[in-house]
Amino acid sequence: MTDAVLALWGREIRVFLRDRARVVGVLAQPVLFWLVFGFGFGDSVRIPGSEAGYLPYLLPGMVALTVLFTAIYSTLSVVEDRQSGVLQAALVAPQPRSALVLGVVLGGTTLAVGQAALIGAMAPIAGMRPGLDGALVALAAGVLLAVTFCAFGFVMAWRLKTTRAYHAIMNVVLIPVWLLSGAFFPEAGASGLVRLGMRLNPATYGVGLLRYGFEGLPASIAGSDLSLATCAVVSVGAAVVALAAAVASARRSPA
Amino acid sequence: MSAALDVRDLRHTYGDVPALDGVTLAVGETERVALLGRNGSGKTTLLRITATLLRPDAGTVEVAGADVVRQPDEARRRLGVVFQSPALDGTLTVREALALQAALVGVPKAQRANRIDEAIADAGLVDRARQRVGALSGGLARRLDLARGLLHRPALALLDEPTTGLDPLARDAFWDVLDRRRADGAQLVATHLMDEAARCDRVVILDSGRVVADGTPEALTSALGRDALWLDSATPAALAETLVADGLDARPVGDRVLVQSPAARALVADLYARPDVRGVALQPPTLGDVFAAAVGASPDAS
Repeated sequence: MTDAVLALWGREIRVFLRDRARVVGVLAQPVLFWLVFGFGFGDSVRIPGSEAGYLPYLLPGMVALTVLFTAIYSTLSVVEDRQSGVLQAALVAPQPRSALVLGVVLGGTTLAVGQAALIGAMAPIAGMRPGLDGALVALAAGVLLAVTFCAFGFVMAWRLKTTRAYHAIMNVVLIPVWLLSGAFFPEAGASGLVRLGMRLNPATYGVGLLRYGFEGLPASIAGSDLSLATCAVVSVGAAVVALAAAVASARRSPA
Repeated sequence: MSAALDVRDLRHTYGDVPALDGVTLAVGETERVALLGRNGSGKTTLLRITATLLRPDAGTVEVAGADVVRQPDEARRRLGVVFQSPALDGTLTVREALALQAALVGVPKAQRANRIDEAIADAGLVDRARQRVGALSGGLARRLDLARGLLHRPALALLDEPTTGLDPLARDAFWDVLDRRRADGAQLVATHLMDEAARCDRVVILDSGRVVADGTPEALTSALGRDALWLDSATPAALAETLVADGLDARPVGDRVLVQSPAARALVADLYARPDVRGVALQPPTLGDVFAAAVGASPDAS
């Protein structure tokens, strides 16, 4: 099984690297967003409980955006594989379905975290000094977010027959998930309903964990009263639940 | 002889529509069996159940002794499947595609490189091993896909209309690869092509989810017991009418008359003596005739 997981994992990465447009697009988008939003809002946005400007607030948010988009869209390969017949060949191979899930999720996670790390490496430009501890926590946060959303993407991809349906559904899901994760604006200044949405959104805790990392493990993070422990526990829990859901899906016949 | 495939009283329904209505079928260890039938006859359902992709309503299927419902992993280990269209990722190279398959089907690591080399040679792709699969012609991609399906030398290879859309030369090349792998195990080939069926040890014809014929190509054609006589005539329509009046099964086909009769050989001299017959050709029944008789239509009608 390990062998099959490694082979599927490697394939996801190979296929990605051979698609130059995908590599460029996925890197350029968050950088552009960050610069436009960061400098655009500039001084007109003040984060409650934070002296720093919007640029450093938004950076972990852009890292989260990169992770979310890359993780979810990497599972598009499941829809494509069904159309090309590759999925059927994998389904009649003597492998547990969990191997298929792990191959896809690990592949997507590698890509998502790899790309997000390139964005995260710009932290010093925003005046952030996470330190080694902070960087490791941010890395862990990225991995947990990526696993959660790759697994979630897998569940959706298993049910959807066309890439068009997949894009349509994912845009509906992704944008609110990202907007309501504390990546773009903080919980502290939001109204009651939006706040509730943010609390129910598993990505909020991943983004919180990212912030703890990027801000160098402070006692509390800008614009939120979530503790490091809460963020970590919920992030791990979300990843486990999403993986279990993906394996359960994969045990049924695909769409 | 132990069986590579043992299907017993298999039944499956999609909603109210029965797809398989009690199919029983065995394929011997190194036997090659053609599965014929019109579209909707149940061929694909039978193959999907055998490939562990679909659960039957009733009945059993064993692949080299492994029950596809109770021991799907064991069954999958003994199975190789070649689908109607190649199950290949176009972005990978030929060698990478086979390496992925080797890992998926669990070819032992020590044998992997050799096995892949052999498969590439078998498929005639030695000088293309580093090319992207997406750059291969349709015929080459099919041969690679066949090599993929047979890579772990399965006890039973399932092939679902594997040459659809290929030109005659590409088809021959495909079957040559299939011939070279005959010693590995049994092959069950669903096809619409009678010349492909003729290359098999046995022919099984499905119609409305039942086996309506099962035997060697020779046994089936001789059991049909009706040779065909083709008569050359300047007046085929009139000739056919006269012969029908004489109680023969005759009909004009183009500028000739087709007479089908169990006693065709005995009729040759009499017919040749007629002034309105210029020539007589005797043709033994073909698998196409067997198929038409079994399902009540010609294969072209499907």
